[in-house]
Amino acid sequence: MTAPTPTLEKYVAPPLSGGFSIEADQLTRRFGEVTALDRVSVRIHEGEFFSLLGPSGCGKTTLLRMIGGLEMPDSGRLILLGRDAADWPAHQRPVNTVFQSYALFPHLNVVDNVAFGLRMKRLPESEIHRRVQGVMEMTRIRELERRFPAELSGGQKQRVALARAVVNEPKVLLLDEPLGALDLKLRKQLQIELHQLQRRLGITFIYVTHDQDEALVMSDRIAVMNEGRIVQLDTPAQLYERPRTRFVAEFLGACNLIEGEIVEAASGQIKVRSAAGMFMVAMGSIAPDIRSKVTLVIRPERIVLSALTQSGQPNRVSAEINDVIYSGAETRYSLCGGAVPFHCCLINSSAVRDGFAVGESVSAYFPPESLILLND
Amino acid sequence: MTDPGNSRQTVRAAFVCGPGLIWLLVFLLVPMLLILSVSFISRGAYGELEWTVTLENYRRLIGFGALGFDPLYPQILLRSLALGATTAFLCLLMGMPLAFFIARLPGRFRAAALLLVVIPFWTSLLIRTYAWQILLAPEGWFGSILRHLGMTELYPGTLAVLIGMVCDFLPFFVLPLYASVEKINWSLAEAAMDLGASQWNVFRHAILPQISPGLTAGLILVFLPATGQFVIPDLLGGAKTVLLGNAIQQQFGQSRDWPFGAAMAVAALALVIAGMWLFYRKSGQKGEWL
Repeated sequence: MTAPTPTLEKYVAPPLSGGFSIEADQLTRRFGEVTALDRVSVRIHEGEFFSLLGPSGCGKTTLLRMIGGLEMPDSGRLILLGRDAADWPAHQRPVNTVFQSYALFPHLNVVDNVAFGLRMKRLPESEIHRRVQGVMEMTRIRELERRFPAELSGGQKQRVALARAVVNEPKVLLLDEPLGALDLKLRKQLQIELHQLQRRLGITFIYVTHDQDEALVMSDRIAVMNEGRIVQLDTPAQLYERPRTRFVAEFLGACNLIEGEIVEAASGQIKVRSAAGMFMVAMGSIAPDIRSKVTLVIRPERIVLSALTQSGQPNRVSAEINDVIYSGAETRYSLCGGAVPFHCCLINSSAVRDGFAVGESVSAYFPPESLILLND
Repeated sequence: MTDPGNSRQTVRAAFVCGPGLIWLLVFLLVPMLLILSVSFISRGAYGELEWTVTLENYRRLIGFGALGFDPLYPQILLRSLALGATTAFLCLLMGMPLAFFIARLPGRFRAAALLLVVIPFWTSLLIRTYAWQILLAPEGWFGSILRHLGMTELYPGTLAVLIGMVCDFLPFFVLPLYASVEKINWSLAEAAMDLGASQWNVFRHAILPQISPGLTAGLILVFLPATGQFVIPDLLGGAKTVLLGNAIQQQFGQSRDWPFGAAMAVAALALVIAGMWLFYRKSGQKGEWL
């Protein structure tokens, strides 16, 4: 591969200056037989929106709880804001958490819930009042102040939980799947609000989620975790465009996997033979090994369909359309080319339906720069 | 306004609740009203009831009897309340860690631990108390160990009474508290810690409000019967002290002074109700005790 495709650069967050909020070194945690966290090392910048993404049980929550001080590593070192966190009790860390279940105090009303952290710090009541009012304004829960948690909807509880954490002006805010219990529409809206809030406050957000869309929308960088380890750490665009493993490719978005064998490697290009035909792929970071079995990935929206003209050229597959699913913004096609099934997705950019019909024979073009050679 | 479905429901409700209500009405409410009215009449020369309305019984109770001021009965009352309160306090001190310990045991041990707590109920209170008498007596093996260690004898005495009381009442405290502790949402404790609460504040603001119902129930279940208890103080305290329970029993028994006994019972009940009302009002809705 030559340089990353220029379009990628646009989406990459501006370079972060300053120090690190979190420096984790070989953190390990076992629960009985299960290794929840397996020698995880990661550095998180100050002011970064950092997501831990992975399926349940991948260790993301354990890592988050460790940063909050609710969990201790069996081995490894955690540096929090430049200080060793080993002997730093949870209640003294300048870190606050928005819990998955919100964990609002049921016997306190909204104002008292939000003021809890400041009361624990024994700040003067006048200052508590000022800060609580300010944060409630910002999170738009002013009109709820006398209500009790049992009288709030899921979205309102979420805002209160957020306000209760943010009012303490933490250096690092931990969010443990805070939108998990909300419906899709509200979730989308709050994703944008959270993102804006993080930009406004300028503090480090560490966000745990198993929802890839959520992570892609909000994060500066994402660590994809699986079985207690970080499998890839990158910007959202890099993760989506250049997944390094099959797990990452499949976890983030839809993808087509093509099994093949390297037959030729020359001048920055690799030639892969598969059941669907020959593919030219840009050479990645891995040294190609002739005859080795490889897996190629391509995102469904990168495949270009056209009426069948010529065949036999590399990266071009003659295929038949098996199924068409129209879903408003886009149309998804299921195809079969050379006995290999794959999916393709076309954006409906004009009102005129110029798509293809079931049974039609088409030529599918897999652009070399959109084909990714996986590491595993 | 006669909805047939609704009236049928009312009939069914009456059938279901009726027996219990009638039982309470006949065997609790009516006798209590009788006691209340008896407390306002006088005793005849031979212990019979004389139907002349008087406040004399209550005057005697607060110390101003026919023979001038005598603090005997206020003392009895205070002594009983003190015994009840001390027992409740000791149960709180010992039962709280026990309830938390049991609630955090792994599932299979939890049932066994609860069984152990309840096992004393399988023997009668009298037998258990006599057993303490034998154990604590100077020639009993526990008593002799203490004597060999050069410690004063426990039995008969206040400490022996308290040992017997706590032993009898601890399950009444632990069981309702356990029910609350088991349901604690520990993520609230984590949230409090996360928000900067010290261990004490985590307990006070995140745990205590959650166990408040069980704690209240446990304290009441111990304090009320312990205040009226007199068998254990009699058997382990050497029958030297008069308490509310045996004082009332005496009035209805040997002294044949039902009106005075009734007044004592009513006064005790009124005090307890007043105390509970204050207690509930304070610990009340918010669950913030401290």
